[in-house]
Amino acid sequence: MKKLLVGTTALLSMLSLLAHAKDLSVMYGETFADAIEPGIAQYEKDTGNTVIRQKIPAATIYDQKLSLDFIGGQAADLMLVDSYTLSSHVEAGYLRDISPFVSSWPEWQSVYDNFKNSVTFDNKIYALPLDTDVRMMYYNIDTFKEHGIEVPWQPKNWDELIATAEKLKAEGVEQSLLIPVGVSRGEETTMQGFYMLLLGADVPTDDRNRLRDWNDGKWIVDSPALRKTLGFYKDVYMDKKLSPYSAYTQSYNLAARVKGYFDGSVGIWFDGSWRYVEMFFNTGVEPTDELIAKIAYARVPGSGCEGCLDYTNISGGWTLAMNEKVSDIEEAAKLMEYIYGKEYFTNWINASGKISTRGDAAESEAYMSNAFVSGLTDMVKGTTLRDTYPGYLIVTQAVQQMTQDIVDGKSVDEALARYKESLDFEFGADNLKTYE
Amino acid sequence: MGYAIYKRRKKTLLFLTVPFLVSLFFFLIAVVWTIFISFTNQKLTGIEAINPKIIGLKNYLYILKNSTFIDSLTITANFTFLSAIIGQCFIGILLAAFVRQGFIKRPVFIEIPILLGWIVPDTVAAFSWLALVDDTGFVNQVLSWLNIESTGSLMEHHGFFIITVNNVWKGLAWSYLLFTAAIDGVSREILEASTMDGVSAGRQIYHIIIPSILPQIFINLLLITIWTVGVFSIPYIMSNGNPDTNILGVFMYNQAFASQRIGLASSISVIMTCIVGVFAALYFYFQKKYEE
Repeated sequence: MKKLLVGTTALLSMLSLLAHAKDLSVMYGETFADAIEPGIAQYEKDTGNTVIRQKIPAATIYDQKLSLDFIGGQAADLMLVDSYTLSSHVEAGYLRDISPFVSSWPEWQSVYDNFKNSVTFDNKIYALPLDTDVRMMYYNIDTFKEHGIEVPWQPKNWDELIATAEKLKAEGVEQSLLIPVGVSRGEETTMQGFYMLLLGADVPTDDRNRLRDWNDGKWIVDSPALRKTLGFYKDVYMDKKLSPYSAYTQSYNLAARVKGYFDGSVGIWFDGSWRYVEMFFNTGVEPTDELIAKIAYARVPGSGCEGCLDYTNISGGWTLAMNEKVSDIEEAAKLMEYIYGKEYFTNWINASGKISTRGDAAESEAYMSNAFVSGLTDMVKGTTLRDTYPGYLIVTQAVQQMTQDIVDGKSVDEALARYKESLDFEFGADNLKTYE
Repeated sequence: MGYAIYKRRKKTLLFLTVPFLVSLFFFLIAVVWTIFISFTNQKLTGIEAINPKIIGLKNYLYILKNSTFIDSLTITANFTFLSAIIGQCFIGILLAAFVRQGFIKRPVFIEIPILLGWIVPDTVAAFSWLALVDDTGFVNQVLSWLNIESTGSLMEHHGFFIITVNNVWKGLAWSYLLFTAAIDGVSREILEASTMDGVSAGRQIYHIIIPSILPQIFINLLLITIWTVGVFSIPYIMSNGNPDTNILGVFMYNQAFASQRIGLASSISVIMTCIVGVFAALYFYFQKKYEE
């Protein structure tokens, strides 16, 4: 009898161990901790369940890790996904259709339509949009004043932009124009740099200023816009040497960059709207009123050609998605609802300086009175999204390689030839086109 | 007595069998799998992730014509020749011989820095070197104290040189130790007699030491060539994105994980294996010829 009792107890405790092994897990980059963790904590408190937090250090290349986790079958139950990789992950069957749960939530109802569309594929919802962003050129008001440049500064075209950078360079500002370049920084090069130029390099008709012609369904491998954009890179890094390109190789050091920005060794700095807050995240620089007063930004101008955009912008953002192989669907959906809850979301979006994808948070008083965010309203209106058709991951890497070829001293023709070579292998000549 | 040894050996062999089989199993799976997916368009995400197609030699035909691959191959060849063959092997022989000939009185002063290079993990070594050669690093600081105009970013202008020197430092310990042991086996009488006859140190190395340790030199060249062609971590950490340090390991990594084309990247790794295989065959050929 005693043996039986011991045996049963042992068996039961083993079973309970097994049950614990089924704890839900959530993966997110550490810069998103404030968006994710309050909801998890509340969920744990209310249900008594434990949630495994897979907080990924900011230095990790999150997108690559996520893809590897997926293909290795080790991805978390819920995870943040950068919106540009969403279509590929959906195509690969990695993500679960969450429409049955979310379509009835009031939180989902308050999501703006364009963001609803960006996470919907074949009428199925695959993710919850968290934030969006816009892009600009940061400059330090004191640095500009010191070198006799009038503030507020706003160039109208590329010539004015380059002229300012040349003036700064002549005055001894080492990194007078920083625009992401090369393969090392990944999507940052394409998004924060290349696209911002490309969109203003030619007229918007027939997608002449993009990477993909959506009407024809073809990738563009040679166009005046691509040539002008590469020419800009050549000007900045090779011909005029406005900055060292090593600013964007692997040894890229954000803390040093931010320090340089406030010390005056950084002039014009292409970056995203979230940088406004993240300048003070893990960089060892304390946000004081004095420093914050130095931060200013200008919109990225078009090249100045006839019929081109006056100012360019492109938006991305992060989403919360569910693994197709989730261990407990009901619980995962419940946790998702907690994380996306109005209160946590509103608090986070107000503190993070990010742009809301939801009406309920945008209507909050704190959001409306946030001077930085409300200043971005105009930029949000004219923005566009990346050409994230499946295969974009290959295209974006080839774009980064193209900018790297330029700083390797290759000509625009040669860089474009290599770009074409790479896309030709992937998509076949029938899916490529050229603009004269 | 023979039986006793056999019995003892049997036990040892039995213990060795399990790890041997396990490693063989995993090694074989990895190799066969790599070769297999190099003939597919397997990706990490997108439709080809779940539904890869066999595309025959397409990956190989593309990569062998790809200009970026050819550039990368050239950089790797230079890197291997300068850092492994000249840097590690040649300097390793010289150092070991000088210690033996008594030119270096206290070898411990060179042995410690050399061995450190071998012991320190790659990541730590890479970040320590970055602290030296970064834009605001030690070298530029010293230059500015000396009022010498800094050339700006050292990594940008001298990236290839820096990773080459770094790899010499990382690998020198192996060659140095191997040659020290080999030179210990060179006949003391011959060396002493030649010294008495007034043969210079350089001629001693060339005419006595090198011919005596030629088999070890071949083995050493084989091993360090294999290691150097496959170098990845330090150049990646220090200078990914720097065109002149885009060695094959880094190029392959970017194809596999940034472009997420794991099939294409596998074909690059198979090509790298073939290149190393050719070198191995050459070394074995020369060694055999030497023995004859």
